[in-house]
Amino acid sequence: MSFSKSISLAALLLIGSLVNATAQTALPEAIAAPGETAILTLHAEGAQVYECKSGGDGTLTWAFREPIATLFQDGKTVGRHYAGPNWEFSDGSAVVAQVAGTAPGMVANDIPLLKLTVTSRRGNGVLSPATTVQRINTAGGRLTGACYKAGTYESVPYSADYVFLRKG
Amino acid sequence: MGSMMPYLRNIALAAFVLSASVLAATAQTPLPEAVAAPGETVVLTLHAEGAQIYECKAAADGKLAWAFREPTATLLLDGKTVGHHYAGPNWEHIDSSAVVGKAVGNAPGATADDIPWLKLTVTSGRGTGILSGVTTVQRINTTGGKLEGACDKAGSYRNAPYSADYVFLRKN
Repeated sequence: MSFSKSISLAALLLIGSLVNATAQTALPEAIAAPGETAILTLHAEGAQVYECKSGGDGTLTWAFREPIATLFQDGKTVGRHYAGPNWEFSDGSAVVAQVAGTAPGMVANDIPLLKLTVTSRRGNGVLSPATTVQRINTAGGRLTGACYKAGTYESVPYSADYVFLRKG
Repeated sequence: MGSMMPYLRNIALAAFVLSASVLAATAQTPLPEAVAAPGETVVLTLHAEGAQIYECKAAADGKLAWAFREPTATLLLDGKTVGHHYAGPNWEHIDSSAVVGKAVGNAPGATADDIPWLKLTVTSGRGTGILSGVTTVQRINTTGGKLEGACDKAGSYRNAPYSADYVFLRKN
């Protein structure tokens, strides 16, 4: 009896650790960063700003223009995210990155999950070693469809988590 | 009778021109007194697109309610991104000049969903550029950004999209 109990316990522990491992690697392949280590994860609250523009077929549609968001950590405002896209930390370190992979958000209104490769950096601080940025856990921020006046803007609220990773 | 007609017509025309100029004068000074900055000169007006961020907090009565935390907005001029607006409240121009303000007056927005119009006095500045020497900031033409009522989880955030125009003024 105690032997089979131990086996069930071992099985339970094994399943537990598998679930745990799955939770850590739940990211879609297109935005995964195998071999990289997370430095920092920041929560973002803000808006995706769209501009009414003439599309390829001449009709006016909402086109994504730029993000604007505050970056939070443990209830404190620690940085900003804006056009570039730039991420700026309060210690003066900042990175600019370029999209290298995307995966759909949870629902149709959610902007996609992203993997971005850092293309430039400035300042010296916690973001300095970052080589990859992931945008995950997106909520909102999406806008598609027709608009009526070229040059008008529309801000769509969104939140997300940005994970900053370094090689190795 | 016939000789009166051009005279009457001139009066009508004069009245029309007069009312038009009264309207034009009104259009230039439509700001509510609480946010007006008499005697100050406009340096720059920037359009803002972004969000007002709220945090779920216990109110004075102990109940959880949405409390304003900070703004985040991109500042636009003639279709170009020329700066950012963020907690402080700070306004930062790409020429590196920036100001921090403090609200000294407010007036209701156009509808119940619109955040109030504000008059803010500049309390500090940094950098050198177009915002240097600015003494007052007005937030006008607000749309959206308001969030009120109960919330469920302390420390959670919600952001309400808004747009506004920020007018930067200096003392003559």
